[in-house]
Amino acid sequence: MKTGEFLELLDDIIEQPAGTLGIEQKLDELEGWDSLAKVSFIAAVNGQFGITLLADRVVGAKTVADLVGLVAPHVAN
Amino acid sequence: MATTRIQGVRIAGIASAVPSSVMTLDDDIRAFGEDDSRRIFKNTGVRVRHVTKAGMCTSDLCVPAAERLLRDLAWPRNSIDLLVLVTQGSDYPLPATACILQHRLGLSSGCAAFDVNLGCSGYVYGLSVAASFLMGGGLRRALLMVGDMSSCSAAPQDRSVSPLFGDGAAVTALEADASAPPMVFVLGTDGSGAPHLILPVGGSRRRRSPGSNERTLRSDGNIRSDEDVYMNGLEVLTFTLNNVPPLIKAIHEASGWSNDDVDHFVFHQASVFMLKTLARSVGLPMSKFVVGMEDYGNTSSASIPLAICAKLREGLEGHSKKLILAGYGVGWSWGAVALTAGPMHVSEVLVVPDEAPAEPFGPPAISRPE
Repeated sequence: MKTGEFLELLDDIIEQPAGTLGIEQKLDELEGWDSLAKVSFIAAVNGQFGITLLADRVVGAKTVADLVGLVAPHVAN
Repeated sequence: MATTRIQGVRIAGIASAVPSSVMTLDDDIRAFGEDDSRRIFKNTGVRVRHVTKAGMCTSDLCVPAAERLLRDLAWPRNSIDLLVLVTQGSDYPLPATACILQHRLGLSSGCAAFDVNLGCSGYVYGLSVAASFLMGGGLRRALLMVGDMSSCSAAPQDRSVSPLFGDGAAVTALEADASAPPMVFVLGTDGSGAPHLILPVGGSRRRRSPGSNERTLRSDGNIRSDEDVYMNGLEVLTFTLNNVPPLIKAIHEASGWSNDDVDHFVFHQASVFMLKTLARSVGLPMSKFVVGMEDYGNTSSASIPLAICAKLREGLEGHSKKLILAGYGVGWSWGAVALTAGPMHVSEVLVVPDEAPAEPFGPPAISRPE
């Protein structure tokens, strides 16, 4: 999956228009990045890539770049 | 995983019951605001759930469900050899609620009765326990009762549990029958999951103390006390995604059934989001996958039989159906069973007036002509 597509997947999860999120975005500044968003994220990653992320890795992510890092090598430019 | 095959036991009937009082999306909007409620609903899929406001116990739902089943089956009370109650909400810390139920239902003193403390996996475990007892040979008829009044353990302002949990109970009648098709069970446990779905205070490890029921804001943004249930939704999801697909693979292998052979998959109704995620992850055809929680919420061990009463009644009353049931969650504990059921009695979901009984032990047994 291209990074751009992954960012759009995240935009959808936090219920924002496509193109909202940038790679440097801090997650604690995002109102939409709540526990329900994290649940949706883990489910979406499982659906797309067949992997199940560890809950505390997702909770520990500080930026969108960190989330991309969790799913490398499935997401790249 | 522990795999076992039970021969010679059939399910004779199922009855389910919920209390009459309800909470709805409107109540959630009042409590949490429209935006939060909408997002919560997107995840839970629960429009309505039945919850006791009068302090009913699980046993108070089990009694009318059992009476209905005994009447439908025309089973004399003294023919019941075994009563198993699966609940996390016993009437008292002791004695076992199953003993009190033996008395309330006027069953014979020759009936074996005991409680089992399990939740989400409880119906599958309960079937394995009751069926195993009957397979032993001496016992002929069993009542398996399951359920929880989970709403009573959820702090009202805790948005991770309060809009999700509903109260409910179900009674399943089992009978020794040499010609019954086999039931195949796969069971598993991982106690490292204990901290993620737990009611911390009130047992032996952490006893109640002044202030232990004080509700305070917690690090997950919810308000609860340590006498309320705590559920980490993220950990529950990752546990489910890691353990349920292998469970379903194992039950397919142990039973020899493919998806095509199965008529209905009835999973523990954890949340609609979880059910859809699981169905996709396991590759289950949605047409065979029962979702029955929109009007009842997550009813713990009763969720599988309640969904059967709500959605599969007609089919099972008239025909024989191949079912795969799967429960997974608190513990962590998980189990699946492949069984053939029906034709059999299946009640509609009984709605029981929300009143706590006048007698502290429940109404005394009334002697009836058999």
